[in-house]
Amino acid sequence: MPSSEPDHLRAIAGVLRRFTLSCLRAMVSIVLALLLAEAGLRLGGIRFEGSFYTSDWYTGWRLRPNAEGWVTTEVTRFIRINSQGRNDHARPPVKRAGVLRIAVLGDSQTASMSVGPDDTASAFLERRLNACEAVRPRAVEVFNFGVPGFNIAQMDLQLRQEVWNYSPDIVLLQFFSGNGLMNNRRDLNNASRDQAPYHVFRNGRLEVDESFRGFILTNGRAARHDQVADIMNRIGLLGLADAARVSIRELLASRGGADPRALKYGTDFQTRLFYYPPPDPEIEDSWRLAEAGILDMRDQALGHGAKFWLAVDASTFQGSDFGPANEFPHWGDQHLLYPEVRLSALATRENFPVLLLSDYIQDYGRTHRIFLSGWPEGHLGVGHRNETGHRIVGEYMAARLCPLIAAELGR
Amino acid sequence: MPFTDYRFLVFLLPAATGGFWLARRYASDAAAQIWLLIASAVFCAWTSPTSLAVLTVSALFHYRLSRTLAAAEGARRRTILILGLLAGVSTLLVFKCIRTPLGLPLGISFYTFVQIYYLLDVYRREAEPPSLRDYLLLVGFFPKFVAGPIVRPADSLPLPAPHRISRQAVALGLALFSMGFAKKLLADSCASWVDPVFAAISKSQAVSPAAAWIAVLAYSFQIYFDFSGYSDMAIGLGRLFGWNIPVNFNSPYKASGMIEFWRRWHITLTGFLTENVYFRLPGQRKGALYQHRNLFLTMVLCGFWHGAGWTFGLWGAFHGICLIVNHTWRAIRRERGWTGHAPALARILTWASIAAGWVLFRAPSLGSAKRMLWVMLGFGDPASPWTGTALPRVALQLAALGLLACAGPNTQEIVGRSKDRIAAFADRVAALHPAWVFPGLATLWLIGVMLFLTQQNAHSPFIYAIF
Repeated sequence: MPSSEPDHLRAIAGVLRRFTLSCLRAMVSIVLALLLAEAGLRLGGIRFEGSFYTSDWYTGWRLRPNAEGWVTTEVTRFIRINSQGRNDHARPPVKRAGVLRIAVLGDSQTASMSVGPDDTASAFLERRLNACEAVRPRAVEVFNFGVPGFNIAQMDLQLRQEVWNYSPDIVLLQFFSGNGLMNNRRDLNNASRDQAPYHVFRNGRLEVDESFRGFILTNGRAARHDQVADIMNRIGLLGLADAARVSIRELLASRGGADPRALKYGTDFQTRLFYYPPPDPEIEDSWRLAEAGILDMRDQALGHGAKFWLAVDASTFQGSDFGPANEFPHWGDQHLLYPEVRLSALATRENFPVLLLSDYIQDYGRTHRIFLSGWPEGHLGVGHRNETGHRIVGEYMAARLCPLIAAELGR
Repeated sequence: MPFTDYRFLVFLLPAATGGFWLARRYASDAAAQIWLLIASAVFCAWTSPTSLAVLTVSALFHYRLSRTLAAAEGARRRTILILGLLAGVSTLLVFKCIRTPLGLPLGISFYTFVQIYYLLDVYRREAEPPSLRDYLLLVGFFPKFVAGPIVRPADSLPLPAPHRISRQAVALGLALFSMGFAKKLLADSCASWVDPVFAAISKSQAVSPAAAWIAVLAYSFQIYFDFSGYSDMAIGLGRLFGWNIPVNFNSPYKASGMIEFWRRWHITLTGFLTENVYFRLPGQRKGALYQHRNLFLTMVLCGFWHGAGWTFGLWGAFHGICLIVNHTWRAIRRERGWTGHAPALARILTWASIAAGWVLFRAPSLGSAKRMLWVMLGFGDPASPWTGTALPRVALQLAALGLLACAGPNTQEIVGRSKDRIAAFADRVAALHPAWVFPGLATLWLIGVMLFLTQQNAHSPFIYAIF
């Protein structure tokens, strides 16, 4: 006897009900697992590097205003970028009367993402200069315009597009041989090759290669991407998913073979390539681009009635730290103070002040037997400057700049 | 591969347990054990293929020898035993003292001792030669071959039958594994206070007395949480496959004497050395002097077992002396009828001696150990890591760890108290609809895969895995 229609429908309804119930159970199970995993990540202190950047039409990228999240590369710390997109305290663009403003430009060593805004060299510089008798009663405001990964062209463009909005009286370029040279040419820049603008010489003139804008148009962050990044910085599981995505991308990229720079210059190229005389035309070109970029910034400063000063920073590769790499100042039989020598010559030739930090930092590290770079949680004596290092650099720069500023003020 | 390695947690452990349980259910106990053997081989080879080769050759050699020994009679038995012992000890010596191109094979100190134990058991006719499969599992079962516990073969054979594993045992195993994992995280949190200071000391760089004390205190907790955490994880993993691996730690920092410490620390090694070395040395019945000599020699051997360096030998000798002092003190108390106790003082003295011993154990050379002790006595440079603002935070964290290690309940106590609740929880989970369980587990697994991708180099090896 054929089954009656209501029975048949009831059976289907029963199956559907069971299926729906199972789906609901599965969803609750997944949600509970996600909550458990999120709690586990938080309790286990497993953090993922946050995203602190946004696209910039002129400089390729910049720090994202109000971005906050964890930095984990060298030390695990929660940081917040100010509303103006810098790792310091936000200030109104309009300068108050009697205030002297210094804009510090640089790369990650200047940006100091692993320390709080009060522990950067720029912050120490500001505090020390405000305590400097020769500068008083003028108040000094130091702006930290450092952005990780910036090459000289990007700093030059940042100066043009952003820095003058704050009317600085002095532009201080904190030159670091890592990004300041390695990222000046597309073929040497392996970290953010397509995202960055570059200086190029065309018919003997310094111009900007703007091909990076194609990348921005296709991959750049829209406002909603920034909102997503803000959410990702707050939720551990999303940070994990993003980190996994980056890991897969790096894994796939590594299958393409070794870093071509390592093949050309040796695996230790990062530790020595830019600290002794250029071994080939590419590196010499990178140097010439750096010099031309520095002079362009100097000219910009003069055009705005500001002073331009250069600080040549030291790296742990030069052994300028009480750390594992303290073979200073030589690598084998190679002298590692080439940046200091070359940029001092440029400064003398072009008549602008230059501060050389290596000697002082090296002496300080050795005399006080203290680590100025790295953190105990990671590697002491390696990498970016720690809080002590920033203090030493900031105080030293203040000690050197105080009489220069006093001289400028006619005291 | 440490048990905290994401490769282990995400791939190998699910594959090993899943395959084992499927084989147990749909095939046979033998199939489940063969699967376990394959998983153990993969575990070893994933870390170091040469270690698997050394383990296999060593196990096959000792297995063949044990069968010959079991069948032999009279003086030949003794000859075969001596041959086996010499083979085991010389293998250890070769790999520990000479830098062979193979490096130090994974777990060699532990599985060599198990095999020596086994030969002695067969010689005493306390263990019957098992099948080759059982023997290979006895020696190479992955939860315990890297860093113990040193299982006594006579107590482990015959191997547990996979079909007898209960749900409650699995739940207890998971609980033990989780607690061990938590201990390992605690141990890793100490590393950043230890490694930079010992590295600085080894390079003759400046270290402040505060930093040195912090490093030594932190190392005391690091090695305890690391090794006891590893042991808990090994015991927990054993439970998943039906093995009852013996307890290896029983709150050692609660000991009020060095004798008690060694009854609580690395219990299976103490048992092995007591039974097979200390009691076997000549003159054991000739009075206290001979006993003390034997004790000293046993502890020196114990030191060198950890590593072929003078620091380890000296560490063993130091513990030997401490044990002799403790025995002598006990004898004096007995003779004079002293009954008074100062448990707090005894614990502090014991703990201070143990901590001083860890300097020898951790320092890369005798010179470094001397410098470290010198700095701890106040002859350091105040300008060095951990003398700044971080000091109060570090001190607070160390105090919390100290409280946990010296006064808190240990894993056995916690599990013992919660046994019924864990079993009831296991029953409740088993009664759930699969839709409640499997999607969640799959999600967690996926998250584990992502963690594996992002944290591939983030895990730190167990300290005892290098011995």
